[in-house]
Formats: sequence, C-alpha cells, structure tokens
Amino acid sequence: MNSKKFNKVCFFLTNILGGIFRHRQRYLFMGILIFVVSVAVISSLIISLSAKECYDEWEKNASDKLNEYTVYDSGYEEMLIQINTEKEDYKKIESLYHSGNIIILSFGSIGIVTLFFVVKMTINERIREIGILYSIGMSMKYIFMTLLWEFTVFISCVIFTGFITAIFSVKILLRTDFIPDVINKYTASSAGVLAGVIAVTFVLILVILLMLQYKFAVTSPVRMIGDRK
Amino acid sequence: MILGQSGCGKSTLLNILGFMDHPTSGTYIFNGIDTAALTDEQKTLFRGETIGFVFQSLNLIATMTALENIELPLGYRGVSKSKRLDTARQTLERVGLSHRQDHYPSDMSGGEQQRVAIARAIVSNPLLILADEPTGNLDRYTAEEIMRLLKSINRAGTTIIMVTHDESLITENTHTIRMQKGETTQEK
Repeated sequence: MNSKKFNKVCFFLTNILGGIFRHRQRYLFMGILIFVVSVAVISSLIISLSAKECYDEWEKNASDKLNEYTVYDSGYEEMLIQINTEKEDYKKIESLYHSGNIIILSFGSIGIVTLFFVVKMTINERIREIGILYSIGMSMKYIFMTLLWEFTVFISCVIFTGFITAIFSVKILLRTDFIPDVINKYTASSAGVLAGVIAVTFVLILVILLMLQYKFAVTSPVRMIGDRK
Repeated sequence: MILGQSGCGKSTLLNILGFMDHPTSGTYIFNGIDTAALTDEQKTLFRGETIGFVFQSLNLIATMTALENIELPLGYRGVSKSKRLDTARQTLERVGLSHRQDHYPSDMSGGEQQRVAIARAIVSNPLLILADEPTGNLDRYTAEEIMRLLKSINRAGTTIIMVTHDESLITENTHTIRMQKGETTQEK
C-alpha cells in the first residue's frame, strides 16, 4: 500500500472514530437503548434456548423410557406416573421457553423500531454536514460509507458489551429460584450457538449495508447546504 | 461578479459551475475539459482538487475546531497528518486567525467563521473559488474585511466567481455579469 492510500485509510478510520466522539451525546442515548435491548434479548435467548434444549432432552428420554415397556408390563403404570410427575416440573421449563420468546419479540421489536428512528434522526441532523463534506470534494459514496461504518462500529461494540453482560446476568439468575438448576448445563452451549448466530447475522447485515450504500445517497446535495437569505 | 435579484438563478449557476448540480442543457467547459463527458465520481474529484466553495451561511462543521475544518479537504486526498496540520496552520495565518485554531465555530464571530470558511476553500490551492453571497450575513465593516481578503486571494492568482445582489461591492476592476430569470442580460 503506498503512502497516499495509507494516509487515506488512516483518515477514513479517524473520521469514523472522530464522528462517534463528536456526536457522543446522540450516540450515548442510542448506546444505552441498544445495550438494554441487547442484554434483555440475549439473556432471554440464552435462557430460552437452554430451556428448549433441556425440555426436548427430557421429553426424548421420557419417551425412550416409556418405549422400553409395553402397556401390559407391570412397571408401565409406575413409569407413566413418574413421567407425569416429572412433566409437572418440566412445565415450568417449558413456560420459561415461551416467556423468553415473548421478551425477545417485544424488546427486539421496540429496539429495532426505535433504532431505525434514531438513525434516521441522526442522518437528518447531519444532512448539513453531509452537504458540506460533498462541497469540499468528498463523494456521496465515501460520506455514506463513513456514516455506515460509524453506526456499525458503535453498534457492534455495544452489542458485544451487551452479550458479555447478558452472560453474567444469566449466571446470576441461575443462582436464584427463578430458573431451575437443571437448565445450567445447557446454558454454555446455548451461549456459544448464540454468539455464532449473532456474528454471522452481523456479517450478513454488513454485506447488505455495503450493497445498499448507493440507496442512501441523497438526490440533491445542493438542498442540504444552508438557506439563502 | 454575478449580480441579480433573488431567484434569478445565480446560485444555481454557481452550483453548476462547481459540479454540485447538473445543467439541463448547454455545454460547460472547465479548463479545456468538456464536463459532460465526466462521470459523477470524476466531477467530485475535480471539484475537490480545483474548486473551493464559500457559502453565505458559512457552513463550518460545528463539532470540529477551526483547524480541523480547514484540514478536512486535504485529509480526503491522502495528505499525511503532519503535512495537513502544517498547511492548515499556514492557511489560517494567511487569513489572520492563527490564534483561533483550537476554537469551535460557536466560539467565533460571523466574520471569523467566514474567514475560516475561506481558509478551507483555499487550503488545497484551487484554480477557482465560488463564493455565494459570502458577505450576505455580515455587517458592513466585516463584509469589507472579507472582500479585502478575497481580493488578496484573487491578486495571488486564484480566480473568484462571486454571486451577490449587493451592488456596492462592485469596483471598476470587477468583471460583472448581470442575470435575470436564468439568463445573462449584461456583461462588463
């Protein structure tokens, strides 16, 4: 990479971090919102996935146990009573799975809608800045790439922090009576699967955003720059 | 200097000259190049390297200091940080505001902000400066200061096309074009 290109890359990266710092008040509000939503959604997802895994495994084991008997065997009724008794306990786990889904859906929806409006408002407020940058020779593509990367870097950091916080929150919740101990052994694998899903989703979102970059271009930069008096 | 009443098309003409807008008809040849053949990316590059803009409403980025505002055009073109800062400081000194380099636009008067905007326009040594009513928001004394600065830039070799409706800014050495309803009516 020659020095001019290196300087341009450094300038681009500095712009991204500088943009986050310069608009820190707006980003702080957005950050708190995303953090709360991500902790709620991620911890609910971990508990929900763990509960589902736990319930499915119990159901499979119970079914396998029952299949070892026929209706005419002497131990069949005893086994059936035992399974029905266990099922009452596992109903709590099943309801934990459904409650988790409700929290994910509600927090997730509110979070996405609010995030959309915050991002839209931020771009509207910076429309003048976009016009100025265009007038000094920056291309629309460059300007919107800078904005997109600003949002992406910031949101990624917040969601990562939310993920770590969610894991600790789940560990704390497991020590209470709210979540049955039996779920404990499933939470690590659920958290791992979730981390993988979040990472893949993020990469996909980034690719889509990069492909959509031209869609964000404003048609008339002239109108972005101050009013005539 | 382009003169005319409000709404006659002065700013539109300036925006076309600065590749910020597209003409609906006609030919625009800049420095021997037919601009119709240029792509949008090429026009943007051209604008960054050869043209400086000065607007009536100042248009400084409020969250950047004077020095940061001025070095912005250089950063995009791959100039190193140390060279950008040197050039920006020299340009700030040229407009008489080296003591304001770390101040934000909100800390400066209208005249000072306009001088920073002019410094940003000249920092990359453009061939042409397009000024859209640069003294429109300023008082008489400050307006005269800005005009003296623009004249010194012009004497140093940079072409300046300025749009205004203030006839008192015309001097005997000014090339003047009058516009009415999108057309030029008089040229002196």
